[in-house]
Amino acid sequence: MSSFRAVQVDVGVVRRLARGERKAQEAVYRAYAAPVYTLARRVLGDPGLAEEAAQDTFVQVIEQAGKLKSASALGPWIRSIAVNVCLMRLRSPWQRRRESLAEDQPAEAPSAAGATLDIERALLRLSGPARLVVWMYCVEGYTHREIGEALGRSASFSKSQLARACRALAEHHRPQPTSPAAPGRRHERIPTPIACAS
Amino acid sequence: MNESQHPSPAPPDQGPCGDIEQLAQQLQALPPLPAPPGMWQRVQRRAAERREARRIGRRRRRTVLALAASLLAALGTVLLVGQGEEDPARTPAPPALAAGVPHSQPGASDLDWPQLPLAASAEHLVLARISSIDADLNRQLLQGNGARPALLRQRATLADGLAHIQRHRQQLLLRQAVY
Repeated sequence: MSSFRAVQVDVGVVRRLARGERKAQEAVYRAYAAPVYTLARRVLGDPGLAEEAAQDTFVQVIEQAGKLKSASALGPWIRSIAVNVCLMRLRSPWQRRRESLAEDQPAEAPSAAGATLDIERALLRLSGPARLVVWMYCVEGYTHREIGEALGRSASFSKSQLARACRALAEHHRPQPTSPAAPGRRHERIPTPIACAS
Repeated sequence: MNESQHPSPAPPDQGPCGDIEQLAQQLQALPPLPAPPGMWQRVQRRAAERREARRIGRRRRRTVLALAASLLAALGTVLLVGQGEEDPARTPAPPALAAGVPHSQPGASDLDWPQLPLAASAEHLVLARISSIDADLNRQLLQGNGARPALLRQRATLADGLAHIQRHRQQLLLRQAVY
C-alpha cells in the first residue's frame, strides 16, 4: 500500500499550511518527506535526481497550498505533485540521454543478499517510464486509466507498459546459466516506446 | 465453438510476469527511504528564492507598465495640443507668401523634423521680401510720392505669413523638446 495513505496530518495543520504558516509547512514536510523521496527514488533511480524532485515537490506544495480544497485530499494531492515532477524529469532530454548511457553499463548479477535488494535492482533495470507505471500501479494504487491520463496516453498504453515491465522483471528473477563465454553480458533494458506523451 | 467444446480451459490470467499481485507485494514490502538530511533547509531556501524572483518580476512588469503609460500620456498630450492649435503647415499660405516659400509648404505636410530648417529659410525669405518692400516705401516717401496702397497691402500679407511661420517653428521646437 502507498506510504502516502499511512500518513495522518491534523486538519488544523493543513489549514495553517494553506495560510502559509512556516511551522505547518515544516510539519507537512516532516510527515511526507519519506513517502515523496521514496517515490522519487524508486521512479528516478538516482539519489541526486530524487532529492531534486522531492525538493521541487515541496516547493510546489508550499507555493500552491492555498489551492488545496479539503484537508483529506492533502496526501493524494502531494502524491500527484510528486508524480508530475518525476514525470517531468523523465521527459527531460537530459534524463533520456542519461538513461541511454546507462544502457551501456554492464549488468549486475542478481543479488544473493535477499529478495528486497533483488527487486530493487530489477526495478532499476526498467526504463524510467516503465518504472513509473509499475510503481504507480503496484504501490500507489493508481488505475490504468489514471496512469494513462497522467502520462497523457490511454489506459491500454499503461497496461502494455506494465505487461512488458512484468515480463522483464520475471526474466531478471529467472536463474541465468553461468556461461563463461558471456561474462560481460550487457543487461537488456526494456524497450521504451514511451514518448511519454506531450 | 462454445465453452463446453473447448479442449482445455484457458489458464487464469495471471499477467505476463506470472503474478502481478506478487510483484506488487514485493514492491510494497520495500522499506521507505528516509529523506536526505538538510533537505528541508534546501526546500525553504529554494522557496524563498522563487518568491524573491517573482517579486522582482512583478516589480519589473509594474515599472514597464508605468513607463508605457507615461509615454502614452505624453504622446496623447502632444497630439491633443497639436490638434488644438492651427497647423500652419497645412494651412494654405497667402498667394504672395506662397510665391516666396516654394519649398516649405508642400514638404511640411509630409515631413516632421525636416520642417524646421525649411521654416527657418521661409522666414528669411519673407523677412527679405518685407525689407525690400520697406525700402521701396521709404524711397517713395523720400521722393515725395504717397505710399502705394498695393505695396502696403503686400507688406501686411507678408507680415501675417511671417507670424504663421514663426508660430509653426515654435511648435516644431516644442515637439522636438518633448520627444
